[in-house]
Amino acid sequence: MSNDIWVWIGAFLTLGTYSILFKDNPVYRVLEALFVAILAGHSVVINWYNFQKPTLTGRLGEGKEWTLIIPLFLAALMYFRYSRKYAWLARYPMAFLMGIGAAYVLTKNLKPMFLAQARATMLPLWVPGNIGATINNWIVVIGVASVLTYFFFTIRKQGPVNAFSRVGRIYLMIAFGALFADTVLGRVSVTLVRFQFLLQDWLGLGM
Amino acid sequence: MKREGPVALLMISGFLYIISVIVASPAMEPVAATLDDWYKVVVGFINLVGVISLTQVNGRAVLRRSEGWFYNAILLVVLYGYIILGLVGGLHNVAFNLIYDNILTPILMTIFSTLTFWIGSAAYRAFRAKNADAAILLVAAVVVMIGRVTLGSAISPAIPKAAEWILNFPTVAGMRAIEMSAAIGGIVLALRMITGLERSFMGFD
Amino acid sequence: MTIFEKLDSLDRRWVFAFQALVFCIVILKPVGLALTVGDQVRTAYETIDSLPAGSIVWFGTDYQAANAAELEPAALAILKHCFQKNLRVIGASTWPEGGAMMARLLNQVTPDFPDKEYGVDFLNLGYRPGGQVWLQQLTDDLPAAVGGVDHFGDPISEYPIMDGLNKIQDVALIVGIHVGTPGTPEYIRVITDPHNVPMITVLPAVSVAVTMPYLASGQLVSIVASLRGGAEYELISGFSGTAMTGMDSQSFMNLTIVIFVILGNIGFFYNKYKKGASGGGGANV
Repeated sequence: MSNDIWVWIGAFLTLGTYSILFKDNPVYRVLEALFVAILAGHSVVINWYNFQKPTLTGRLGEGKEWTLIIPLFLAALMYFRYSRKYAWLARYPMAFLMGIGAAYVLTKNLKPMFLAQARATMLPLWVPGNIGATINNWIVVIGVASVLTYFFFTIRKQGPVNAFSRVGRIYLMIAFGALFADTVLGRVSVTLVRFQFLLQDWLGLGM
Repeated sequence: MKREGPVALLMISGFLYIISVIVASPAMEPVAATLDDWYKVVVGFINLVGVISLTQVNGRAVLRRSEGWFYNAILLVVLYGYIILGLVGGLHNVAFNLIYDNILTPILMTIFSTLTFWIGSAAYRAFRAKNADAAILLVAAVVVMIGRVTLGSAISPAIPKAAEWILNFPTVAGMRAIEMSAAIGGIVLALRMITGLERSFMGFD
Repeated sequence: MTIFEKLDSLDRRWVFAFQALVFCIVILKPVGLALTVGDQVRTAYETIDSLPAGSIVWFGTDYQAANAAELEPAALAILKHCFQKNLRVIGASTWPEGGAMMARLLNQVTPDFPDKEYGVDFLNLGYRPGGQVWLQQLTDDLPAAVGGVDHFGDPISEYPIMDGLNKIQDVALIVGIHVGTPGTPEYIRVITDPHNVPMITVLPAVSVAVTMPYLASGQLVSIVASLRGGAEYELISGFSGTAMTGMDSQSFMNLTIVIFVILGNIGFFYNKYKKGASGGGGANV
């Protein structure tokens, strides 16, 4: 069994958090409050030291970058959302962020997200001497085309289009199956690490 | 000022950025760089909104002595106590880092892991081959679940190969089409926003 | 009442308890199933192994403590490998908790490499706001984007590791430890795709399927996925850690869930056959 006080605290926190699986209880509620508070507090402190302080003291104070007053003023407007009368002022910083965000989507997304993916789908449909690669390339090409057809909502899907769209649905089911399996794998991994901590680090079993 | 002002700001900032990127002349380069910088500053200085909202919601519960107000009070005390500890002591502060590493981290990891148990329960009660689509999903999931762990190769080398194949070909095809559709959807939405057609995100109709 | 109906109405806490019991048994009594290194991890290892000494590897620690259990084993093994190869490491994050995550990694690894010096061989820049926009700034003017301080708020102007690092394109490799947004797609959009900077990404299992298209299109060098990826990296690099010891347990827990699925479906079809009616799936999970 561990002699480290922090391991004991970790074990108590782990078991206390797992207690929600049995039923809601005061220990879990306290831990929940702790986790929300520490997480929020941590982000405030980190943001202050990593960004806000160097911006205010370095760039604005010592560097005299007076143009920074414009975004600082915009950011300040966000805090009017707590005023009933002036809440509309908070729309300005939101609008600015949305404007830049939209510009990013329009200028940065097309090539890596669409064109590169489309290009990667342009696979040879006959690979000489390699029937396996040929079949796999067909699977990818048909898959991408049929799923795109499935997501095509501007025409009524009838006849062959509907049948092709149905193929796309099968691809999606396979992809979602893989996604579910990966979700299980991930969650099991996390739980495994917690149980290793309890059994091995805390209780000293199975080392 | 209340409606047209924000829309105008959105359009001006968006178009200005796009023009500066497309023109890509030395004269326009600083425009995009300045807008990037301003964006970062705005994001970096609006982070207290979350803390104020937390204070508002929990403070109200404490003042009204709502059910479970004690937990709201704990939250507020810890929140401000931790902020003060960090701001006064700095990021080299041992207590600040110990609390993060030894209190927050185990709680967060464990909360994240509780879902495993719900997945196990759901696997038995809800994950059923009610129709052909569900059956396909189920078979793919089972093959990947077994094929991606060491047990898969211990049973048969074919299982991990099947799992890899599912991930590398049908899954890539399905996810790629979703990605491409989302890219087009995102571009259309961005176009609507930047031309002032889409205003719902600002609380307009 | 059939056995399957009884199981259907069983309190879910018994299912939870059974799962916990399986976890305990498989951790305490591992059977030692063989672990093999897959192509993805081999590619990641060889990529790092082939970098010349002194090259800079950028660790994008865009995750938080909740994901540390799943991602840290891979991240630790990669970090140790980088130090072993005398690569210089710079950590930075678009997530407020990312700096603390990098600090956790460094605190666990640096005791094994006492000759490595902060600011010379490695640096933790911490968090910067702006997400994708900040990543874009890194491609234009890295020192300005970083803003002159590290994770602890200390000035970095004296640190030699920053010398000659004008843009993120100057780094030899990006190791992105990502769980969401901003994450791998944002790095691809503004750094790796337009500027051809190679990137290995360490991902939780749940993100693998959605990231596979970027790997297939050549926009990523490799994906090191979840605890299994960590275990494989520990195996290939020789830096044994916690992930390798957990692989048996992971196998049997996955098997337990597969058995739950199979049992649930046997019960479903049995009840359907018996009642001669369709439907009847359970929502009470």
